[in-house]
Amino acid sequence: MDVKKYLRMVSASAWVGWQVESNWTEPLIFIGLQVIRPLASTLLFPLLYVVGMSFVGGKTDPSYLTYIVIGTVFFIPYISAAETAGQVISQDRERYGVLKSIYITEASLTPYLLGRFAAVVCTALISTTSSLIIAYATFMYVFNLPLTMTSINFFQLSTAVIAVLIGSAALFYLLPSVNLHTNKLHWSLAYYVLGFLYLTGDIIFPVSSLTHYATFLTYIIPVNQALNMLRAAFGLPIESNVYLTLTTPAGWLAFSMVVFNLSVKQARRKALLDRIGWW
Amino acid sequence: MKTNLRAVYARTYVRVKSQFREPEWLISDALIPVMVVFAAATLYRVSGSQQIAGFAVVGGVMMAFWDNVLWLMASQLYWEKESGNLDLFIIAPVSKMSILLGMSLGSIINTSIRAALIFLIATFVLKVEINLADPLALLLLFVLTLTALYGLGMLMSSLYLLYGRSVLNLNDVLTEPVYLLSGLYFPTIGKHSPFPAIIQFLASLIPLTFGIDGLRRTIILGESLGSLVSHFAVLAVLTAVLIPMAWKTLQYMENLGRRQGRLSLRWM
Repeated sequence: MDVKKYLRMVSASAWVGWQVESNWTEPLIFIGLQVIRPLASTLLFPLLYVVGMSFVGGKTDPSYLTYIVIGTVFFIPYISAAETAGQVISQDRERYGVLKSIYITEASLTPYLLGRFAAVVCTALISTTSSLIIAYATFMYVFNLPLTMTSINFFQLSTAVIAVLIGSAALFYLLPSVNLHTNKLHWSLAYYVLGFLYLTGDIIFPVSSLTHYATFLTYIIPVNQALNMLRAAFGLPIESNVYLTLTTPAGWLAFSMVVFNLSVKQARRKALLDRIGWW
Repeated sequence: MKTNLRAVYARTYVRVKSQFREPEWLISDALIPVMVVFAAATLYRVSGSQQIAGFAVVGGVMMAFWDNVLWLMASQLYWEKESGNLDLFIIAPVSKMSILLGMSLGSIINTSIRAALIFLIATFVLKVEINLADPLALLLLFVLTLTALYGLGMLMSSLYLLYGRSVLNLNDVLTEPVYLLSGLYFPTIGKHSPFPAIIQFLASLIPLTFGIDGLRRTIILGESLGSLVSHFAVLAVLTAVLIPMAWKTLQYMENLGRRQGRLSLRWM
């Protein structure tokens, strides 16, 4: 297949994805979905920390507050990817019955998911940027709690953003691989994965604070290194490694693609690609 | 009256029965909030406020009810429309409120089991200190919170009656902001609230806010009935307002739907 044709297929599915993610809703709801909802999810844990410290009469550490804010803001692309990836098979196969049609096109499912992921990247970009700006302004000027974002290292920032996107793409292929074989996990699978990542992904605390035996997870999970590099990019004194930041999610993406292709083949063999009314 | 009570029982039965058709999902559904509760409790511990980690547990328990209200109360009539059951509900010779009431009772039973599992798992694993001094206050507060909350669910269900697929997006919009405002993991009303008075006032219009705060005070801080009078008053007022509003709204939306022929429209 030539590249031009492949790109046309990806852009067609990106357009479908954009319609599903945004254009099916009214502008106010779209703003709610892409700005207010992620902002609320961004503020939840930093404020928990602030209120917790106020309750016990302790002092809020600006560095740790910044650690949590950066973690929750840049976790948004993973949330967006996991939520859409968790639903995409159920929507296309069960609800709209189009999965079989997409499957028999020349491009089939892999570029289709890439296009849908591109739409998620667009919406996540809006959500992440708006959450970062509003959260920063809210903590600095409404709550009078300074965030220690002293500088920006653009090399680290761009490297980490690429790693976030690669890690999100890995999730985007992994969850449908599971959902092709079941119709019962489309609600819960994404939240299992996100719940696990909240615990182990260095989002609101270092995974090593669970137990030091869990420290190795920081090098295995495709989220930790990227978030820590983002923190370093904004001037927090956190160690980061460019090589690990890129290779860990890249390894996960390669693994996800292999699993996805095997999963599609297996689903075809078991006649699951057009199975509807599976209750 | 008898027919309506039978409709309530029938709708409750369907909901409870469907839950126990696959009981393993009870545990599975309980584990999702447990992971986020563990994360919130760990954040309390890591930051040095471990003694209030139980706040996150109470929030996790009530999160199950809020999710249930959004996805299995508010959007239920939309699901019924999609699956073709709404037409049957409309032509059935019963009050539509009895169907909503049955849905609520079934949901409360199912979600209470799930909530109890979340509470037990989280308190056991996190070794949360329980300081329950007044079980009667806890029971009354819990019942009143659920009555007000499911009153809101019935109201939302009526409002969603004519919506199309954007209800799913609307539910998504309402999930995290309500987690934040209602104080799922930390108090959002009172002296420790990070929010200004106007936001605290708006937050208190959500039944969960005073409900969670009261439950936290009884279960974790060991407060009794006497110190929770304002909580009871606010929840009672919300109940008294929300349920009649749900009734009126349902009648209005049903009539509007009949006039516009939108009650059985799908995929819009």
